[in-house]
Amino acid sequence: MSRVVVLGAGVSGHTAALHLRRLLGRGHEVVVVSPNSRWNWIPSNIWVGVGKMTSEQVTFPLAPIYERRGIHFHQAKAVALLPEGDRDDPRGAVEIVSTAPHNGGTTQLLRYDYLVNATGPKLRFEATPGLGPDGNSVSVCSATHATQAAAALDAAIERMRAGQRQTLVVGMGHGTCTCEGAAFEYVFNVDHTLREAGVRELAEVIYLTNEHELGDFGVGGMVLEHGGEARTSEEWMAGLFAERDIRVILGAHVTEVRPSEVAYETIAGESGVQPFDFAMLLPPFGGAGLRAFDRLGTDITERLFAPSGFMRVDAEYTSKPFEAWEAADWPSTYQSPEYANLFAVGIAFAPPHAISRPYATPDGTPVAPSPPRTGMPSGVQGRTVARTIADRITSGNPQAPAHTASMAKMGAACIASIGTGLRSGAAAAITMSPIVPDRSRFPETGRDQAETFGEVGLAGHWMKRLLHTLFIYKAKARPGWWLIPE
Amino acid sequence: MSESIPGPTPSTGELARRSSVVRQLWRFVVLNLKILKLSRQHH
Repeated sequence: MSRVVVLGAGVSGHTAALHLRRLLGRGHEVVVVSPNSRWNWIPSNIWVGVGKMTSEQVTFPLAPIYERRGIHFHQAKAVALLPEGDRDDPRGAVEIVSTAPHNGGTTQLLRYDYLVNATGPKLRFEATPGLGPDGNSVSVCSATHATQAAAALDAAIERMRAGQRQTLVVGMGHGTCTCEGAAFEYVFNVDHTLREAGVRELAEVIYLTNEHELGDFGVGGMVLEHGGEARTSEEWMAGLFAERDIRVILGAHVTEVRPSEVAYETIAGESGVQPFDFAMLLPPFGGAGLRAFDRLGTDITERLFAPSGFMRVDAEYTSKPFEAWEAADWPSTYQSPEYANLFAVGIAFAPPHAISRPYATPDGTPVAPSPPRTGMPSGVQGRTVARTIADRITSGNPQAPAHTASMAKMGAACIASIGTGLRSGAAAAITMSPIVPDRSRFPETGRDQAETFGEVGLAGHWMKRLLHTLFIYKAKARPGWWLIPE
Repeated sequence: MSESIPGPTPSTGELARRSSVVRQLWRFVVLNLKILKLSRQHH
């Protein structure tokens, strides 16, 4: 019997666990370790953040799903990785600390034959003084954060109804943030909500971002085809922001969030202080903070993990100038180069380089959007690694070839909501292929223009709403769940 | 052979709205197909 341990129950970890359970016979054990008791469809948090959905609509308890599927579940946080085992047992092991209410703090050592690190991001609010729900801004990174954001937005709307002007700042709380798409969606949903409430004329809405131009989204922007015409994502987004009268601060690194103002500096050398009444600013991400030790107890964290805390996999990590990076540098199997039974997927793997050109302020502070690893590629990576492990276990050959899924070969769809409502909603629907531009295959733009497309409209909103329902159905492992693509 | 059923004549605004809904339904189908095609790519 083999035991596969999956650390994390987000999009990539949960997908990996469900596929492993489907592909492996009951003679093998699948174990999930997650500090959270509930699964969260994060793309819909922006609707919780404007009060259009509740926390319960975007989350559900994991334990009953895992019990039904025959997956062992530990509500716990992984703290240490022992890929060579210890003096008692050469099998790999992971040390976990329970976060469950009944036995919180209890430590346990879990042995494994294969381990999938899908721990997702650590939300590094501490990177910017005053950033985050414990400071002076709100967030939509979790359903709980989004509920708090909705309450703060409601309070701002009430003040506007009482005749007060309000300034609302939405964007990125640090120069190295990722997930610009989420901030983009949220600022447009805030605008939409203010219009519905009839108070938009009393609000100044500001989008503050680390992108050097609109439409960058951490992937270096795109050239989008629509209706036989090509246009850049920058042109497209600039039109959308102007149409909605949303002011933009570009290329910004936030240095501090004070009780009613945000201080920032830009790549153009400007320093600014923007007063606000409401601020939703996303944090930068880091790795989960796992430590690693060899069999003798020597710390090998630096061998397994990048300084950011993300795990090194089969990528080319040699330092090079931005112009020298290639699409082939991106990983495809997500297997650790150190240990063949160790994988990292989703946000947990260390990207080899930025996709968007990194900039800096004149005094050298990086203003460089980190590569996004959104739901679609994360899910595909989870499924791919599950197939590799299942093949190796069922064939009895630990060297069986790995399945592959490189972000430099796969496409992604991004449906960015710009307002809800069956008849009044809209979304920007964007597809791109590949996610990481490949100039060797597509010399002009780095992407296949036949598959890189964008349009805005009500149909996009219906699509976003359909994806919400479909992916929660899939995550609940309802009948035929595996037929729904990642 | 089909027979037309008499009824109230839709206003210009109503026609525009229906046409818009039909167009959005068509775009919805197109978006579904585009995303499905992406998801079937080999990596």
